[in-house]
Amino acid sequence: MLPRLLLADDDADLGPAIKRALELEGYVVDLFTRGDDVLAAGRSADYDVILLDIGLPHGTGLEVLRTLRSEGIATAVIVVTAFDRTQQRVAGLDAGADDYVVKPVDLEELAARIRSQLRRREGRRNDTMTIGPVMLDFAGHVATLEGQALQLTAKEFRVLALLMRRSRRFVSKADIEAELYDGDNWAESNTVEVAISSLRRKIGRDFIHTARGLGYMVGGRER
Amino acid sequence: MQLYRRVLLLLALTALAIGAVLYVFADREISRAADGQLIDAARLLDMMMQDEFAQGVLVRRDRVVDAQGDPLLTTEDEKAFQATYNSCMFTVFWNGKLVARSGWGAPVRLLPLESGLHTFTAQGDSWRSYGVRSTRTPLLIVVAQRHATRDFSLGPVLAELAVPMLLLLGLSMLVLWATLRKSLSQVERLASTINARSLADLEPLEPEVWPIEMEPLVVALNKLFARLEGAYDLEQAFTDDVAHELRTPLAAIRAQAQVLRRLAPQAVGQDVDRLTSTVDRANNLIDGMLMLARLNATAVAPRSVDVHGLVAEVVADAMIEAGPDGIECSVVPEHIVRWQCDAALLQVALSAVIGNAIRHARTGGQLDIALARGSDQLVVSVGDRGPGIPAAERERLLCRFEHGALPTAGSGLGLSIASKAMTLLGGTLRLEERPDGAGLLAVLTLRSQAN
Repeated sequence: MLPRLLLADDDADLGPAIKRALELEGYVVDLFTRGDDVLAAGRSADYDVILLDIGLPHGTGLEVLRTLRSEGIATAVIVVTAFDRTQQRVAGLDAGADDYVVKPVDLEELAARIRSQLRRREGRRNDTMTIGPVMLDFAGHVATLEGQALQLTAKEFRVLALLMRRSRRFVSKADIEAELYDGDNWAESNTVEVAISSLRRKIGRDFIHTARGLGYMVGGRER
Repeated sequence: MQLYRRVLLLLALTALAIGAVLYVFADREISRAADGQLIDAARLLDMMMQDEFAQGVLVRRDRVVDAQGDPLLTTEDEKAFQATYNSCMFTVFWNGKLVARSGWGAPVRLLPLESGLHTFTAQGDSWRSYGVRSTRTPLLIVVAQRHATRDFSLGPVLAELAVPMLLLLGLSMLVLWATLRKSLSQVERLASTINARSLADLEPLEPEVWPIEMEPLVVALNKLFARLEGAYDLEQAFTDDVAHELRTPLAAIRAQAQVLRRLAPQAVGQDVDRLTSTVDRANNLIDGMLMLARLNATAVAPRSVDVHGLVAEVVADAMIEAGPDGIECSVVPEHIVRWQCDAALLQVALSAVIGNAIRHARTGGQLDIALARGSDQLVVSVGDRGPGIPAAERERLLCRFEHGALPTAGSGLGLSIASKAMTLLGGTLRLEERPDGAGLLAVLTLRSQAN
């Protein structure tokens, strides 16, 4: 069964555009423009994810969200809004939102965030992680690139796992060396460089960023 | 302090003026009293001579022409007169002829032989005379004394008064100075309290904490704070509205472009991408404008910040944003560098400068960041290998809405945002040429909070 989304947006141009784009992604999308309608639909129907605008007429998004949560409705809610203040984000998350996206949102990013919520709803254990083309199963020690199995050594897997767990932040060479320390003997001085260059050969040059003095990092724009 | 000097000078001048007025009045009164003494002396002589007239001298005198006849004043009379008025000389005329005079005094020819008070000069001194004519007889009495003997009193009195007066003046100056200082220190305290505030801190002052004399100022300041707060709230609401109203249609355009990208044939793909990046640029511009507007209302909260860690975060975000490319980035040193400052503002400044450098580094492919910590300043220099900025353009680029001559994907506000954030941090942003070859060097200088 196709995942069903509730889209709440009162803008006459934006609502239909997002609906259309998400339908192209393969979702069933119901569009509402009024807060009270969103509340009624959210109560009655079984949606997988609700995409909620804050500035709705007849009941703002935050009011709708608080009411739904107070009634024990636990549907995943992604707030999609033009309000970008930190306090506004905090208010949205405090009201019970699972994610918060500021307009104009990239539709591919929105689709990625919806997939992330769907995965969480499916109750998948959080021991796999996908960044770009690479998926890592931490428990099973399996890595895939574009769905194809990657042959990695134990050291390479540990380096890649560390970088992916701390994605979008630099990991210093010292931290990677500490990760590779196996209790008996320290890694040789160029072990990290060797592992990184080997990973780059197998995955692609651009997957791992480097900055001298900062370390290594993986992670690109959410897709 | 200018006010102290002015008030103390005013006090001294007032004291001097009071002294001068007192002197003039006292002098006039003494002069009048001395004139009264002259008049009394003349009356006494007249009275003394009344006895002689009564005894018939007057009758005989009509017949006697020369002055050698019976004297009008006996020797006893003269002695009695001189005993009382030893500083007064006298002359008595009968029908214009001198008939009696004191044994000393100014030459008769120099005396003004008229009734009333006169001043004249004789024997090198200034004299004061008083003449009186008898109403019943042709008698003229003129008494005179030297001015010098009249003005005896003021000099020594003034000398005696000077010391206590000066002491009193000095004491009142001291009291006044202390009072002024105390009240002015309250004004200075108020000024430093207000100076210590950030732009966003518009809490009203508590009137009880300040002296009663300051109340009008405190009340006026509180009213100003309230008005400013209102204006700030309005500005915040306005920027929020602008953000919402501008972003929503942009989001709609972007979403439609992405739908089109999926559905349209390959041929128009590039045009749609260009449309999307135009929308992104417009959105960056809105973000930049909002950031500039909101920076003004930022409350500065300094704490110990790991600047190296902050640079790492900012570089990570900028690299992810820029997407995969061959930029070589280096940061020295490799370890934690701590500094006392507002982390959020420094992140804004670093993001703008490093984001700008990464956009320009693409052509040169190199980004070099150096942290240099001194005792009283921390310098973060960010150098790229891009085309650089001509010296004439650099200042202009730090101002709002100015683009360099080269087209970039930036909002054109990045460097002015960084400049504004650095100003709020009490630091500076300078743009320089790289000393080691082509490219732009952005130098962020943070000064120690203690300075």
